[in-house]
Amino acid sequence: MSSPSKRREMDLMKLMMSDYKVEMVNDGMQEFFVDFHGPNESTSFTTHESLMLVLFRPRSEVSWISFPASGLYQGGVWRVRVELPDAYPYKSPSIGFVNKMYHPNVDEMSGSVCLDVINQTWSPMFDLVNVFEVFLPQLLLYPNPSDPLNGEAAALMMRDRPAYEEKVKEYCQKYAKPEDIGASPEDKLSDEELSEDEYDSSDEQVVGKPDP
Amino acid sequence: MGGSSAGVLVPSVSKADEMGASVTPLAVSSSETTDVAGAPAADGKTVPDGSRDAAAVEEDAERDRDLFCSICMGVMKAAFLTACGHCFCYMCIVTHLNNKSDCPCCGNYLTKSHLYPNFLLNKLLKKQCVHQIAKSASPIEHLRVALKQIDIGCEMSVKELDGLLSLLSEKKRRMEQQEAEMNMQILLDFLHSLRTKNLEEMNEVDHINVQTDMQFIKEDINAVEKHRAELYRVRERYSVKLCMLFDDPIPTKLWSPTADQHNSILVSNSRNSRSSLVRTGSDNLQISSNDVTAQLNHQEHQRKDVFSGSETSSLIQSGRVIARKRKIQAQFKELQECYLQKRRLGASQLHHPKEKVNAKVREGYHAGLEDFQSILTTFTKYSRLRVIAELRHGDLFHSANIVSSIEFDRDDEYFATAGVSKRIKVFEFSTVSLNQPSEVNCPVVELATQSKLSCLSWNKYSKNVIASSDYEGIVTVWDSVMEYEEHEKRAWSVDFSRTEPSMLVSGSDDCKVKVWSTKQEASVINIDMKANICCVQYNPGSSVHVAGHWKAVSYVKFLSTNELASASTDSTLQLWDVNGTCPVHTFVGHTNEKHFVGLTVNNEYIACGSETNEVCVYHKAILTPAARHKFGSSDLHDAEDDAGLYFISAVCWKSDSPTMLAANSQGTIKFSPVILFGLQNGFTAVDFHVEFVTLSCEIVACSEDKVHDPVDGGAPKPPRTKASSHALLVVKANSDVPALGLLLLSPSAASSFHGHGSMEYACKLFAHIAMPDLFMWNTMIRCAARRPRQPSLFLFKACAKLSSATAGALFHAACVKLGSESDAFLRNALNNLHARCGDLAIAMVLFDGPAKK
Repeated sequence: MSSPSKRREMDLMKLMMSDYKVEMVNDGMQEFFVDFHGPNESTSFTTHESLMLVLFRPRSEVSWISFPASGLYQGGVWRVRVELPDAYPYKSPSIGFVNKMYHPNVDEMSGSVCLDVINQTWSPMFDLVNVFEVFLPQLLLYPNPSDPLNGEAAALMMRDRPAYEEKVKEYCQKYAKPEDIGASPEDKLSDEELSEDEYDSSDEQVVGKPDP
Repeated sequence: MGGSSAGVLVPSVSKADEMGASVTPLAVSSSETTDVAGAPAADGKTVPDGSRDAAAVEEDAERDRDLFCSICMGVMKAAFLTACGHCFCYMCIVTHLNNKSDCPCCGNYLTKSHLYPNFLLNKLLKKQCVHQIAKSASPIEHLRVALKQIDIGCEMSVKELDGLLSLLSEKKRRMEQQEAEMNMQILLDFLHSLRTKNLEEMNEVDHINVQTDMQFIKEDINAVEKHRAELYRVRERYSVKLCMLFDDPIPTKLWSPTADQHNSILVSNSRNSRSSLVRTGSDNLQISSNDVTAQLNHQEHQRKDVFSGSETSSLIQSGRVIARKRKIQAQFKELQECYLQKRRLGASQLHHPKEKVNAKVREGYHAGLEDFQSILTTFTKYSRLRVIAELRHGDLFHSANIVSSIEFDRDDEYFATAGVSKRIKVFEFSTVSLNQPSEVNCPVVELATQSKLSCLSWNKYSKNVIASSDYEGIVTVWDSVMEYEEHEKRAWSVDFSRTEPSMLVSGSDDCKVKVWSTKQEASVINIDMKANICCVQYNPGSSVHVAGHWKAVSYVKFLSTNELASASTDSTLQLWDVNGTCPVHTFVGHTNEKHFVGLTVNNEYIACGSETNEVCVYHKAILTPAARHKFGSSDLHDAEDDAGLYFISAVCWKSDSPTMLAANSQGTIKFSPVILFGLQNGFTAVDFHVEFVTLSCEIVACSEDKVHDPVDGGAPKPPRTKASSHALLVVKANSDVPALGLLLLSPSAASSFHGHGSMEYACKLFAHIAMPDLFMWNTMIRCAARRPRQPSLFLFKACAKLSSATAGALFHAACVKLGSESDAFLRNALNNLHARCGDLAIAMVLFDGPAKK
């Protein structure tokens, strides 16, 4: 086994090379944010045949039932918080939406995601690109109301499909606007910028000091 | 199978995802074999040269990818097969099975007992690995590998080796000859064009200076022509010899009496057939100069060039000559100045001592001319910088990523980078220089630090030691993990001594230069300066000279023991002689007003970064850049709006080779602290230097009298003086004063030196001493006896390396006396030693020993 950190770095690099905007929280490559675009219907699947084989392998419980939700989430941009555990490829990354999302399998408050492939049935063969190109689009296109994290959304989806779709779109409009991304979320980021600024000014102070 | 070979040709994008597909080991191995067999033959012939490389590289990458382990995404190491038929690295799959009991590919139940080694795949992997090395290695590597194989396996007779040697030396001679001829030609060309120019000038203004210059030029042209003629004579002689050597043995015998005659016929023939070719070739060259007589001369030489060399090689050569001449034209003025200066200097020296003049005249060469020739040669040798590889440093992972320092290690195998990303990354040079831009570069080692780093320095003696200085003023030595926290402000620079491996020096914003020893925590020497210190450097020739700089000067580097280059924020570089007080040369041509842009020196070249995002290379005698290279921006929109924002932040030469590393601050300048420098202060670099030298002299004096005490038995001394005296001792020991070497060893050997870890140090020192005598060995043995196993192991290895059998035997005896012979490690080392030194009988006895027990 080559060092886990190498794999970690490679995965991140691949993610960035697939044109995802990645923002690191610390230097450790442990934690970062990724901008995730809501999928339209035609994404994934066909291009990832081989991976689907793995996903639908006999022993894993398939978590989604085909309820083609069309491109409900299309056009929205979510900021996704990714945390890689120390044992990363062997242990699954923890994934959470930062902006609010109305989805049966996404907790509205915390943003945490219920998806078996990134929890119980995770395999070290998966990488971050898979997560963002297959798993999450899948989740958004095929919600699974039978195993909900957001009970209200699940109930609404089962009972009143049009109302549910309306609500999803409303949330998209409200919380997942492309232009807002990066501006509103979490204080952590602005904190960091602040400290960076402070640093700058202290630098200038040092420099500006008259020479003896 | 068909699918996979089609995939090889298509530059597929989605391959990364396909990796998830379960590739059965059978498919992997069979595609591998066909690829290895088929590929080289196929791409060798059909595809034209330029695209061939790219295609081959892509193909290689694809093939590699087939052999990737799907867990670590690297080429498989120790491939193991699962019960369900999937292949992984052993370590990868075992780690996975510790977490979960299923196959990562298909999810079937799996435990460690269902893993089997895949021998076939392993074999193929090994082969592939060798293949890869063979493809990417330089010819020198090839030769080395081949020689190693000879060493291990088949015997090679002395005669064969002789043949090889003579072939090589012949090749070397020919190359040297070509080089010399080319140099001569260029020099001559330069002189001629200089003459024409001066002739023109003479017509306009009748100046006495010009006349004397003309005198010089005339003299030199004559001298050079004479030399050239000599060179050609030598070459002709050789070509005759070669004719005789390479022809069939029987005809040679017949020819040998008439060889000269035959050769002359041959020569005249080739002259006729090729003269037309020469004319076209030299037409190009004629454009540059106007002097008709010079041209005639020149053409004559060209012709000679062609007829005696082989056709193609001389054509290539003339191409190179043209490039070089163009370069001369481009920077004619600087060269002219340089030449005249050297020449006048030489002449004025020559006029005084009469007898020397005679000596020079006989040789036909002036010292100034000789100097100039070497300058001209090295100057024109390289005309531009070519990017070999690109390494995207942490820029994707960290918001701030300015690389503040790049350094090569002792053997140029690895290089380390450090910067505001708070990380030291060590890369392997060979892998980085071979990869493609899209490939992910992973550092070999990564060290995380507390704060932003300003400078790095590898230990010049032991490979695994790096020193770093950071923005908090802490100097850290890695691997021995010493931290020195005495600087009160930002430490800008750190440097290991070249001659004394345990000493390092650091400079900081708190106006102090501190000298440290890796063996103790407090600073050894502390020097207060009047201004901020931006850079400190050890003089390569001695361990006591350190140069520092005041604020506006951002870098200093030693070119040699008495030449010093400095970079300043007024966009200039200066070259100093350490004995003088004013700069020898000032180089202009790059822009540097506020940032640290990096400075690095080679034997002849000085390179620095520029705030225009360029790297400039200067020859040390020519004042304007010899070559420059602009960093391309990777993003298009970035290139448009803020090209001026990027700057080069660090540069480093690979020692004694024309390879350089450079890093820029791409895309991150917004986040990084911008460091501004004022341009004032009357303190010059040299002033400080002088001061420092006197200071170090004092140190020498104060420690000198202590040195004469018997160090090993004597009363304990304060560590500081001991350390400095030790440092001195090392220097002197290296400059072959054996007695001092003894003194040096004994304190370390008696472990009274610094208490801990000194044994290894002693061993290293010992291995370094050129001619160890009996007494030294005894000291070492005595100290080895005090400690258990490891040090003596080290000693044996040293012995084996020096292949000194007698010393080894002595050692062995000591070990037997100590009763530690039965130790397995020791026995191994001893075995090795005896085997190397030729005592096979002893080795056998040793080897059989444990079996009997």
